[in-house]
Amino acid sequence: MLIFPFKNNMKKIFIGIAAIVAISLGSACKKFLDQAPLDKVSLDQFYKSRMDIDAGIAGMYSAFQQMMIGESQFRNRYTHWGEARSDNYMGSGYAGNTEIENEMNSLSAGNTWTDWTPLYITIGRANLNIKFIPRAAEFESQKALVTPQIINDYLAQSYAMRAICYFYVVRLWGDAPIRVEPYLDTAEDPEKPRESSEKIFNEIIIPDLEKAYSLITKNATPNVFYIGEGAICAALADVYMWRKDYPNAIKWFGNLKKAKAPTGKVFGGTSMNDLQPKASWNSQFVTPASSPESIWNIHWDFTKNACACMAGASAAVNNAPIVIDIFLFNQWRADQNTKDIRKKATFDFTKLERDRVWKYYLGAYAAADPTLPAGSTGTYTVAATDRATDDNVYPVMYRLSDQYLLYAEALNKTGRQAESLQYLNFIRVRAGLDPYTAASAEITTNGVIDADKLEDAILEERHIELFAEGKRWFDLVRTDHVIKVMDPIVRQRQVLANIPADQVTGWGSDKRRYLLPINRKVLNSSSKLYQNPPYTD
Amino acid sequence: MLIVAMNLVAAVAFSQSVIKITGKVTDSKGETLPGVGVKVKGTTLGATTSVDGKFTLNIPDAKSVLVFTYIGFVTKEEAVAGRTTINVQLKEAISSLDEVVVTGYGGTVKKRDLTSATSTVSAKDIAERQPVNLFDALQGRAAGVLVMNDSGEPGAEGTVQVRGPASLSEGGTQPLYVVDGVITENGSSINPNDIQSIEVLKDAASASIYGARAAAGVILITTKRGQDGKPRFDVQYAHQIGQMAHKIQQANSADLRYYRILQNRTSAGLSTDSLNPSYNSDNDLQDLLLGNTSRRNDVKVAVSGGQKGLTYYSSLNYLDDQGIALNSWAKSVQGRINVDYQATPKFKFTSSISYAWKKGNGTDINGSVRPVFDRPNNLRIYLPDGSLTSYLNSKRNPVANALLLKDETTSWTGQFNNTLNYDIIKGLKYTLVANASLKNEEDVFFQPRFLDDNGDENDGSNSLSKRFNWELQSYFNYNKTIARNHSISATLGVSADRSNSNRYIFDGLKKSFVNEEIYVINGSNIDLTGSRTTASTNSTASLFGRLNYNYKSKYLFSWVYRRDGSSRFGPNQKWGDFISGSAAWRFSDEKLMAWSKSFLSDGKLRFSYGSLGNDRIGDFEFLDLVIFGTGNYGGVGAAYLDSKKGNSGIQWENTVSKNIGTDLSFFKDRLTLTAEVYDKTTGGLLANRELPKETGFIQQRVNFGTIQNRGIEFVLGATPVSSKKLTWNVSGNITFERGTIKKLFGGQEVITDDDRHLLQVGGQIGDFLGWKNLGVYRWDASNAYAEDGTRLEPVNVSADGKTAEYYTYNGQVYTGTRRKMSGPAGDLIGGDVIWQDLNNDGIVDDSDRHVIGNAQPDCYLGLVNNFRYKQFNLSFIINSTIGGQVYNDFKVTLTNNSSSNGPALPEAIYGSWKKQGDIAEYPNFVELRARGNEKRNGNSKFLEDASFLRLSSARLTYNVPTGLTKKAFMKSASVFMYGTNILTWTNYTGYDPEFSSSVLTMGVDGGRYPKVKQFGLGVNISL
Repeated sequence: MLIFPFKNNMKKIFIGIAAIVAISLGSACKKFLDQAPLDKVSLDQFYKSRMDIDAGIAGMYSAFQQMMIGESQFRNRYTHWGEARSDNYMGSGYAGNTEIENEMNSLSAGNTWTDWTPLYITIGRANLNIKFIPRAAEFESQKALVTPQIINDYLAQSYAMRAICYFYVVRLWGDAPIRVEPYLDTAEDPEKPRESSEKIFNEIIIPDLEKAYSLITKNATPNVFYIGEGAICAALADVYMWRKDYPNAIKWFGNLKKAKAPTGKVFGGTSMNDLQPKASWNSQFVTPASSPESIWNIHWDFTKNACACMAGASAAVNNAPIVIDIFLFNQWRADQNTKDIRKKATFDFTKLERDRVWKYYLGAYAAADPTLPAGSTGTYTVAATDRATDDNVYPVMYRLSDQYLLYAEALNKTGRQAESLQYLNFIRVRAGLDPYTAASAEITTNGVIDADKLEDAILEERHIELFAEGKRWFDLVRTDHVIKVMDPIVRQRQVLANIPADQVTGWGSDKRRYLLPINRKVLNSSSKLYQNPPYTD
Repeated sequence: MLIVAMNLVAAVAFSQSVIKITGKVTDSKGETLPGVGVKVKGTTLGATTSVDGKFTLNIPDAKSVLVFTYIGFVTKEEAVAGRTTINVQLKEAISSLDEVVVTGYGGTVKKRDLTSATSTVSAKDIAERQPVNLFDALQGRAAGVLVMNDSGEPGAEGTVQVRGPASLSEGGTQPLYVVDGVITENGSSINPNDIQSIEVLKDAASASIYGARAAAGVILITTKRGQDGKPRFDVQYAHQIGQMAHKIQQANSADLRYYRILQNRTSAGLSTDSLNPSYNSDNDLQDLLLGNTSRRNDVKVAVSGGQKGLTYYSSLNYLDDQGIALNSWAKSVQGRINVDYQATPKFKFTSSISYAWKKGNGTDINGSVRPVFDRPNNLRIYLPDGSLTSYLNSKRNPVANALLLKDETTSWTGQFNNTLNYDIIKGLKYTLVANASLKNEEDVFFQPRFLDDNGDENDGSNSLSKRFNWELQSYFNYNKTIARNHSISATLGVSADRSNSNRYIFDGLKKSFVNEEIYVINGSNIDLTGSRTTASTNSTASLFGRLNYNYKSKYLFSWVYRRDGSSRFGPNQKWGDFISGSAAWRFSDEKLMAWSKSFLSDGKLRFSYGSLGNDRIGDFEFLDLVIFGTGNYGGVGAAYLDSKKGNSGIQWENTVSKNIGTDLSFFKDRLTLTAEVYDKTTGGLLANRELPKETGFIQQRVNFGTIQNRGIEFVLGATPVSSKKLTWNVSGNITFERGTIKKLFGGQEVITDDDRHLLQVGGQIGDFLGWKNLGVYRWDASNAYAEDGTRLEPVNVSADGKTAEYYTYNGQVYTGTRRKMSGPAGDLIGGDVIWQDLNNDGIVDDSDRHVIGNAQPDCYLGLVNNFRYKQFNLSFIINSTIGGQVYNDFKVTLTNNSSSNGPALPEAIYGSWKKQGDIAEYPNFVELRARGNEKRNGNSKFLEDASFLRLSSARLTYNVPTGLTKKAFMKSASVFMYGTNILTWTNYTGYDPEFSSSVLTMGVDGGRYPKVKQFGLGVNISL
C-alpha cells in the first residue's frame, strides 16, 4: 500500500533517490561488470587438483577419440587417413567429393580429410597437460593422489600422445609446424613455419616417446584404452619402421616383449601362443581388455559418446559414404571358403552394398560344410541388430599381430629371412593357413627366399589381418608399394566411373602425392604455410 | 496493481473553484469528432469528446488555454479567454512536421526540429496495412530500413537492417529495440495495434544516446496510452485466407520413371515393380503439403480511458494462424496494460505490463521444404483404407511426418516496467525506470515409431530455456527557453542492466518411449549424450548525456555523449565512449529566402557526425575457457580448452557515421522531400578470426576489420488531391546503398563456414564465391580451346562426338594448337559443364574459384498510396528490392542426381545432357560429382537475380457514417477488406527471393517456406 505523506518532502526525497541511484550505479559499476562465466571456468581456475588432472587427461584422449572415430557420423579420420586412399575402400553411391577424391587420387585442398586441425587440437591438449599437471599436483592437498609415480604416468601418456599425433602429421603431410608449448599469450605470433619432418622425428616424436618410456611405470598391467608401456614400445617400433631404422625397430620390439598385456600377462612375443587363439580371433576386437594380444585400443561408449558411426568400419543406421572396394570385395568373397578364418569374419560377403564391416562386432562360425577342405570353417554371422548406435566399437591402435608382422618386416630387411618367416607364419597359422616354408613359391625365387617377395607376402598378410585397423595406407607408403598396388586399381575405378579408356590415368606416378595437400582452411589461417607440391591451391 | 491505483485515486483530492466549459469539436467538413483529447495546457486536467463530438471540462482559471489533440489532425490550442462555450474545428494533418518525435530517455523533439536522420512510422501508417507483426508494419515504410519479411509461415518473423550490414557479428546487424524506453530483445512480440509510433534512429546523432548497442540503428517503439474521458473500447476482428503464391514444377511419376532410366543407364537395370500399387501412385506432394488454404483469425481488443490523472490502456490480441503447410500452425496471445497516474501535479507514475504466449508446431517443412520434394511421387501416401504409409523405398512419407511429428515450441514472455517521473522545478524532470522481463521457451519434440525407417525407433526431447533481464535507468531532463528565441534541452543519466540465461535440455534415448501417448524422460530412458544444461550472463552499465540548443528553430545543434561498460570485454577494455554532434539550418526562415516562400514552406539542411558501438558477441570471449562435460573418455568426463581462444584485448566495434540530409516542404506541406547521404564506417569489426590451426585453437574473436557503407535515401510525400470528397496521399522512399570491406585482419581472406561466401578487402559482405558455369559441352569434341583460352567451336562433328572436321575461332577457321580442359577425373567430355578457366591453365580447380555475385540489393524502395473518397479509404503498398542475388541451393539439391531416390526437377530431367550432340542446360547426370560437374556450393548456374517488385499490401475500408454509428451507440465503425503479398514480379525460379538470412551466410535459399497470397475481411468497432 502506498501512502503519500511526502507531498512537500517529495522534492528532497527524489533528489536523494536520484543521487543515491546515480552514485551507487557509478561506484558499483566496476564490480557490477566483473562477472564470471556460469558454465565454464577460465584456465586460471583449472589444473588445481587430481580431479582436474583426470579431466584434462580425459580431454586429451577424448580429442583423439573424436578425431579417430568421429566427431559426427562418418567422420572417422582413423579410416579416412589410414585406409580410404588404399585398395581397401572406395566411395559409395552416397559419396561426396571428399570420398571420391580419396578413391581416385585426385585430392584437392578443399578436402575435409586434408585438415590437420584435430591433430593439433590433440597436441594442444597434450601440451597443456605437460605444462599444467605439475602445477595441479602442487595445488592438490591430498598428496597421496598425486604421487610422483601417478604424475609421471600421466605425463608419459601426454608425451606419447603428442608424439603419436606428430607421427600422423609427418606421415600425412611431411613437413609441419612444431608446437610443444600451449599457445596462451595472444601477443605471441601464432604463426609458425613448417619444419622438416626429419626435425620433427628427431626433436619431438622420438624424444617424446623415449621420455614417455622413461616416465611410465614399468611392468604394470595397463588399461587397454590408455597408452601404457606396451603402447609406447609399439609406437617406437612403428616410428623406427617408418624411418627404416630396423635395428632400433627390433630393439623396441624387444622392449615390447617385456611389457604386460592388459590381461596382466607379459607379452612374451616369441611364439604363436602369445597371440589371441584362432578360435577366438574376433574377441580381441570385441573385448580387447581380456585379450593377451591387445596393446592399445580407442575407447568408445555409445551411452556417453553417441553412435560410433564409422564409415567403412562400423554399422550405422544411415548409408555410409565409403564402402569396401569392389575388387577386394569380390576377391575375398571368391575365396571365402578357404581355411583363413579372417576374411569372412572381417566383412559381410552377402551384403552386396559392401557396407557391412563386422570385424568389431561379436560373431560366430557355423559348422563347416564337410565338402570343403579340412580345416575350413563354416559361414560366419554377426547378430543382425548390431550397429554402432547401441554397440560399442573399439578400434585398434596397436596389437601384437601388427607388431609381429612389423618385426618380420624388420628382420627381412636386415637379412634375417628365416626368423622373419617364422613370425609371418605365427600369423598365418593362427589364421588357419598353412605356413610358408623356405621353399614356398610365394616367397622364393629359384628356390631361395626372395626378400622382395617375402616383403610382399608380409604386406599381404598385414592387408588381411589388419583390415579396418587404419594401417593399410601407411603400409603401402612405408614399403613404397603405393603405385604398384594402387595404379591398376585406380585404373579400374576410372573405367567403372565411365571415364573413356583413352583418358584413364591410373594412380599416376608422382610420389609427391603420397602426401596429402594442406587443407585450404589451414593454409588460409597462416601466412607462413605453403602448399605441398604438386597440389595447387 | 489495480488496488494500488485505486488508492492513489482516493488519496488525491481536488478542491478548487472551477469554471465549467462545454463545446463541440468538428473536422473541416463539419463532421463531429469523437474521442478528441481536450487538455488544459500546463495541467493534467482533461477530457475526451463524446460520440457527438461534445465535451465538458472544469477549468480552474478563465485564462487557461485548451489543447485539442486528435490522431491525424493538427493539434490546436485555444485560449479560453473568459468563454464558457468553445467550439473548434480541427484541420486534418497533411504533414507530420508538427508531430513529436521520441528521441530516447524522455527526450522529444518536433519533427521539424530534428537534426538527425530519423524515420517515423505512425499508428495511422500502421493501420493502413493489416500487419501481423512489426516487420509487416515497417516494411517499405522507411528509407534506409531494409525489412526482409519471412511472412508465409505461421509465426514467422523477419529481419530489419538499418543502412546496410555494418557488422560481421551474429546479431550485430540487427537494430536495438527500445519499447517505451526499455531495451527489449526484439520487437517481434508486440501487437502492431498497440504501437503509437515507431522511430528508426539511423545516424549517429540520433542513435548514439544508446551508445555501444546502437551501431545497427535503434528502433524506438512507443505504445498507446489511455486518455482522460469515458472508456473507449476498440474491437477489431479480421479473418484471412491464403494460398501458396507460386508453385514450382515438381516431377510427377512419369517424369520420375524417365529419370530412373537416365540414372540407371550403366547399372544392371531398373528395380521398379510395375505391378505393385505402392510404387505406382501419382501424387502431387507439393499440393498435399503446401497446397492447403491458410486461415488466420485475428482478434484485437483494446480498452482505454481514464479520469483525473489516471489513464489506462489495455489490449489483448489473439491470433490463430494456420499455414498452407500441412499441420503448420501458430497461436498467440499478446496483452498489454499501460497505466499512467499523475499522483500530484509534479509526480507521475507509469506502469506497463506486457505479456505474450506463443505456441506453434514446427513441422519438417518449416525449416526447409526439401522433404516435399524428397519422396518420389510414385510412392503411395495412403493405403486403400485411408491410413498413412510410412517409409517406402527408404524414403519417408512427408505427409505422415507432417501429421504425426510433434515439434512444438511454446514461449511465455512477461515484462514489467515501472517509471517514476518527478518535476523538480519547472523544466527539470527526474525519471527513474525499473524494468524486468522474463522469457521462457519450451520445445517438445516427439517422433513416433511409425515414422522410423524400421518402424521400431521413437525419439523425443524436451528443452526449456529461460532468460531473465532487468534494467534500471535514472535520468534528468531539462527544458528551457531563454529570451523567447533560445531553446535548450538537456538529458543526463545513468543506466545498468543485466541478463541471465539458462537452458536445460533433456534428450530421450531412441526406442525408449514405451507408450507413445506420453513422453516423459527419466532415469530409465535419458540419453546422456544429448542432455545438458548451459548458462550465461552479461551486464552493461552506462552514463549518458544530451544537449540540444536551437535559436528560433532556425539554427539547431545537438550533442550526445555516452559511456558504456560491458561485462563482455576484458578488464582493461570494458569501457567505451561514444560522442556525436549534429546541426541543422532552417534556411527557409532566412530573409534571403523570402522569395521562395510562395512554394517552399519549410527547408532545412542537416549535418551529423558521431560514433556508435556494437557489443553483440558471446559472453566471456575475453577469457581462455575450460569446457566440461561435452567429452568423455573411459567413463571420465573430459575438460579442455574451448577451441575458440580468448582475447583479453578485444574491444567494441566502433562505427563512425556521417550524415547530410535535407528536409524540404513545398506548397504548405502538400509536397515534402527528404534526402540523405550517409557514410557509415565500422572499424574494429567483431568477428572470428581463423587462428593458425597449429595453435590447437580454431578461432579467436578479434577486432577484425573495417567496412564502409555508403548510401543515398530519398523520401517523397505528396498530397496531390485534397478536397472535401477526395484525398490522395502518396509517399515513396528509395534507398541506394553499397558496402565495401576496407580492411581485414592481417589482410586475410575469409571463406565463410558455409563455404559459399568470401570476405576480402575491396569486396562486399555477401559476396558469393564459386565457379562460372558457361553451359554444357555438346560433344566430346567441344572441349577444345585455343592457346589464349578461347573456346573453339567444332564443325562437322563425327557421330561418336569425338572428332570434328575442323574448328572455328570466333567464326574463323582455326588451325593452331588445341588444348583440352580437364577436371578432377581427367579431360572434360560431352555432357560436362563448361567452367570458366580463370587462370587459363587448362585445369578447372580451386584457383578458378572467384566472386560470382553478391546477395545484397543495390537499391530498395517502398511506395505507399492512400485514397479517401467519401466514406471509402483505399491504401496499398508496393515494395521492391533491385539487384542482389540468391543462391538457389534448393534447386542444387534437386538437380544433382543426389542419391538413387530423390527425384529431380523436370527441368533437370529433360534439360540434362543425354547423348553426344545434345544442347543441354544441365550436365549428364551419371557420375555428376566424380566429374566435378556439381560444385554445389558455388555453381553460378544457381545464382539468380533476387530483384522483385511486390504489391505487398492493399486495404479497402468503408467507414460507417457517424450518424449511423451513433444510432448503434458506437463511436465509430468500419469494415475492411485487404490482401497481402498480392502480386510479385520476379525472375527468381524458387519460391520467393525475399527471406531473412544471417550476415555471414547471406542470400542462400535452402528451400524456404513459400510466400502466401492472402485475402482478408475485417471489422473495426469503437464503443
